[in-house]
This record gives sequence, C-alpha cells and structure tokens, in this order.
Amino acid sequence: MRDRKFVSWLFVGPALLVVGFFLFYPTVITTYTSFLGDVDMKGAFPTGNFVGVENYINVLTSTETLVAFRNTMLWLVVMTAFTVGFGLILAVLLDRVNYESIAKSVIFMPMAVSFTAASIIWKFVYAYRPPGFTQIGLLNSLLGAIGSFASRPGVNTALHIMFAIFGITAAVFALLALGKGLWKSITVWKEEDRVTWIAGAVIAGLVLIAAWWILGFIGIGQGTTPVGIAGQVLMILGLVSLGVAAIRDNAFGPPLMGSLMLLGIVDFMLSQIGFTPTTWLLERPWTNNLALIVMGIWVWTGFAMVMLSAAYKGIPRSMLEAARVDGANELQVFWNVTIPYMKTTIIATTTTIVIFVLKIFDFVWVTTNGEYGTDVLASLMIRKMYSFYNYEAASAIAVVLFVLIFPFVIINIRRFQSREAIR
Amino acid sequence: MIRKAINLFSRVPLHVVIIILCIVWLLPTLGIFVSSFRPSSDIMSSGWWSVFLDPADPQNYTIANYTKVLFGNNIWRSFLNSFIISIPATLISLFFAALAGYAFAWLKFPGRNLLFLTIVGLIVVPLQMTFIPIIKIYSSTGLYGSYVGIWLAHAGYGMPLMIYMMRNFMGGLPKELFESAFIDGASVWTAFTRLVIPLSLPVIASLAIFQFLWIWNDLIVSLIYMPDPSKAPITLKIANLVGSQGQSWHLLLPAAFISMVVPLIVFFSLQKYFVRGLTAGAVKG
Repeated sequence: MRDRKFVSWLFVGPALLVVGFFLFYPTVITTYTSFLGDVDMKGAFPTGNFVGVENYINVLTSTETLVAFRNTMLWLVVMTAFTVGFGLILAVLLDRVNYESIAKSVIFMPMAVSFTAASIIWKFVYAYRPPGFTQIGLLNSLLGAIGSFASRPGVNTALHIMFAIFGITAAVFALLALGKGLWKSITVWKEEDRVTWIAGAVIAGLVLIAAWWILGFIGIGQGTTPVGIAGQVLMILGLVSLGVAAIRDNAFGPPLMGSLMLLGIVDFMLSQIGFTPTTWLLERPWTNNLALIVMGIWVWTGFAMVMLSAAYKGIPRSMLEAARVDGANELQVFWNVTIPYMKTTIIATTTTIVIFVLKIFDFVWVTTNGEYGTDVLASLMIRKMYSFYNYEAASAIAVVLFVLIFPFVIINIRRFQSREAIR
Repeated sequence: MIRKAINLFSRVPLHVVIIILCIVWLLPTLGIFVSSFRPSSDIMSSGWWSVFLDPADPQNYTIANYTKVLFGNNIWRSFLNSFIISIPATLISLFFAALAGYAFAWLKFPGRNLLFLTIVGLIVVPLQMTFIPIIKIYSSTGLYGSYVGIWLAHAGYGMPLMIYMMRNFMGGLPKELFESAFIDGASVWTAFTRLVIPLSLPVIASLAIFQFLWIWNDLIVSLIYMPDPSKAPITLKIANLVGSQGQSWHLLLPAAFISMVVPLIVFFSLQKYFVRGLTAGAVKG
C-alpha cells in the first residue's frame, strides 16, 4: 500500500520504455524527417535543412509511388473482398459437414507459416518454362491440360452446346428476376425499388457513353474525356448492381447463380484453348499483381473463416430454424438473418484485414522485389530506404502509409472506450 | 428411403465445393513438400505430380536437397538463429507486458488512462514509420546487427498489443482477490507473482505462442536490423536465397519447408491457443 505510485512506475516502466523508444519516438522523428532535405544519416539524430512539403510533392508526383498506390488499393479491394467472402462462405458451409475441424485446419494452415515460405510455395506454383518444355509449375501445367482437353473435337462440341444451354438459361432467369423486380417496383414501389434506380444508372451510363461517342465523332473532345469515363463507370456500376439485384431475387436467384457458375466454368475451359505458358509474376500490370494478391488470399482466408465461423456459431439455432419454418429458402436466411446477425464481426474482420493489407510487404519483397510494377507502399518505402538510401522519400512514404492507417488508430481507441463503458 | 437418398444427393454440391476448396488450399504446400524430396534434375524436368504415377519407386526420392541446403548453404545455422532470436525476444516481451498489463489493470497512477489509450493507438502503427530513426540510434550505439538489438526491437513492436491483451484479461480477475491479498499484507509484487501470473496463464500461453511464431515468421525486422548474414534468421536467409538463386528450386523448396517445420508443429499441437492468440492479435505490426 505504501509507495504504490512509485511501484506502479516500476511495473509499467520497462514496457513504456520500449514502446516509447521503438514506436512513439520514431513516429515523431520520421514525421519530422519527412520535411527535411539532404538528410544526414551519420549521427544518432536525423539532420538536414527544412524543405517543407517538397518531399511529399516529389513522392506524390512520381510514377513509382502512384503505381505503388494503385497496387495498394488493388490489394485492398481484391484481397479484402475475397478473404471476407470466402471466409463467410466457408463459415456457413463448414457448419453443415461433420469433417469441419479437418477442413478448417487445412484452410487455416497457411496462416501458421511465414509469408516468406508462402511466397516460395506460390512462386513454385507460378513457375514458368518456355513453350515446348514440360511445365513444372502447377498453374501453367493445369491450364495447358485444360486447354488441350477442351480443344479435343468431341469435347469441344459438347462444351459449346453446354455453353449455349447455360447461357440461355442464365439469360432467361436473369430477365425473369429483373422483370419481376421491375414489375414489383412499379406496382408496389417499396420493396424492390432499388431495381429501378439501378436500371436508371445503366440508362444514364448508356446516355453518357453515347454522348461521349457523339462528341468524339463530331470532333469535340478526343480520347478519354471525363464524360466518357463517368459514363463507363456508371455503366459498370449499374450492370454490377443489376446482377446483384437479379441474384438476390428469392425465386430466380438460386437457379440463376447456378447456371452462371456452370456458364463460368464452361467459358473458362473454352478460353484456355491454345493456352501458352504465362510468366505470371512478370505480366504487368494486372496479371502479376493479381498473382501476388492470390497469395494473400490463400493465407488470410483462414483468418476470416475462423473469426466468422465463431460468430456464425453464435447465432441462435432457433432463429435460423424459425426463418426456415416460415418458408424462407437458404438464400433468404443467409441475407436476412445470418448477415445482419454477424454484422459486427464482419466489420471487425474486414477492418483487421484492411489494416494488414495496407502494410503488406513480404510477398512483394520475396517474389518480385517490387520490380515489374508490383510495388506497394510498404515495400516501396523499404526499397527507397534499403536499396536507394533515399531517406527523404522513404520517410514521406512512411507518413503517407501512416495517414492511410490513422483512421484505424482512432477506430481502435473508440472501440476500446465503448467496450470499457459497458464494463 | 427415397427421401433419404434425395437428401443425400442434394448435399453433394456442398461436399464438392468444400472438398475442391480444401484441395486448392492444400495443393501448393503439397507441391513443395513432394518436390523438396525429388532429385534436382527431376524437379526441373517434370511436374511434382508425376511422382504419383509411380509413388513406390525409391529413385523418385532423395534427401540430397536437404543435406545440401542445410550444410552447403548453412541453413542449419539460420534455423538455429531463428530460435536464438525468437525465444529471448518472446520472453522479454511477455515479462514486460505482464508487468505493465497488471499495472494498467489494478494499480493507480497519474496518466494511466491516457498512456493506455496511446498504447492502444500504437498497435496499428506501420513499422515503416519507425525504421529510419531507430537505425540511426542503433548504428551509433552498436546495437545494429546484434541479437540484443533485435530482441528489443521485437519486444518493442509487439508490446502494445500484448499489453492490451494482458490488461484486458487481468482486468477481468475478481477484485475481491486483490483486496483480501492486500489486507493479508501482500506486497504489490507478491500479488503479481502469486496471484496474477498463475491466474493469467491462459492468456500468457496464447500470447507466448503468438509472439513466438510472429517473430519466427518475421522478415522485415530482421531485414532492417540484422545486416550480418551469419546471424540472420531463416526467413531472411531464404529471402536472400530467392534473390541470389531464384531458379534453384532444389535449394529453395527444402529451405522453405525447413522454415515451416516449427510453425507447423506448433500449429498442429497447440492449435487452440494458436488460433485464440492469432484471432485476437492479427492487427499487429
């Protein structure tokens, strides 16, 4: 009881010292360094002349940073969407089979090994040998095999027939679903009125694209104009939303999804005809970045699955059963009971993955070393510092990265405070 | 009977989807496992799956790759280094974090809440923010390239999350316990060693495993603070091997597999603790 205050400091002292030294102090100093020019690395403290935001201007206008920024955003969108999506699907599906724990171990296993090892594992999957040699990489070999299988005369005809059947089925179901939605939104104007809005977006997109084309045709505004890009973006958004709306339809959604999946498989097999081995990690800008992102998805899906599975098991079974007894099909149960119930966990999982993706480094460093337009912000910073000794640019990039992550600092603190308030 | 059959049949797509996903997840790892035991000429001339055409043929397998990479490329040394780095760093961070977690949960001192909130905020700071100033101090004090330097760096980077989790767990211990202990004349330190530590073993175990594997699997901290290749951990060694021998699969694959052995053993034997630690702590560094 005596000297509690002093004893308290002895207890927190060592931790505060290392945290202060390794995290707090350098955060301040790096921010300071990012405003210096001609940084001198000899002493224990960075010195240089104050240049204001010049480093930031240099960094934010250079192609490499913009490419790294684009890649970071690509990672963010694709990897987050796929890990959370797969995790959700697996959480729901695995709950229904009796080999759940084995399957979970398999999916979660990559999370245990280092990203360095994962990079080698996937580098080997992507291994490339010139056409004519036996492919030793799984991916090139598999796609080659599918391609030659699909080009066999009998198989080829069968695939084309299947393509037509699935295509027509999917189109019919999509039209039925959208027609129903439109009809409902006109007559009821409440339940499904989003379909009308989305259809509006598609039409607006078409109009804008037409306007852009006419403008180009009569010679005003060549190439890519804001009007044209806006039209295309609107069009794509509208089409995607229309697809989602059609799939979400309770009656026609499931068969539509099924036929779309089959159509996708057949189309994929047909598209591999005449496949030539690809250098997956060199083809810029999309192939190699997506090839890298696949590694991230492979590793992090297990994490999302475990988090979401715990939340799924927390849904009272009686609630799901009640919905089913009321005549809801599995898709309706999923959208209207499961998802709302798991919302908090889904958000928490997504946040965690987003924070991690922003800092992704190892995959890029080990597989491509940031070459061929695959740099992300975290690896570009290390390259600037480690390979080019450009400390001004490196600290500016680090600060940019920190600014992107900073909202999550606030979110973390808020979340903690609200939890404390309940306690 | 027919109903049962229909029921079973309707579940086929479910099993197909799950099994395909599991195979997709397993194949890449299986590929390097099988390949690492194949003669180097075989690795380069045929896909690893061709082993399954004649799985019983002993000519398909060799451990030469392992001996070569372990002793020719000194992977055994970096394997050892990984332990030398991970174990002390884990112990240091556990000890510091347990002390601080206890203080933040049960002792009163000025600025406690503000300090704790700062620590919660620091959990997600990108390490890129910290490298330049620390390298400067490290190289002017001789910590650069030393084990001590790397232990402390790992302890510092892991500390906010560990303090956070320790405090949350220890804060949940019953208040009466401490009151009666202090009435009995126990000192703060006795309460810590006799009460808090034994009662907090579950969280300490989870954090120990999590921190150990995190450090074992780390690349970036060693890359920045360990310029001496003879002290480099296995991840850094492998990353450098990719840079210098990118196409030597017969070296890279066994090396990668050796680096995976420890995490896989930990994962399969302590899965429960591991998953618990990881799901709680994945936001780190």
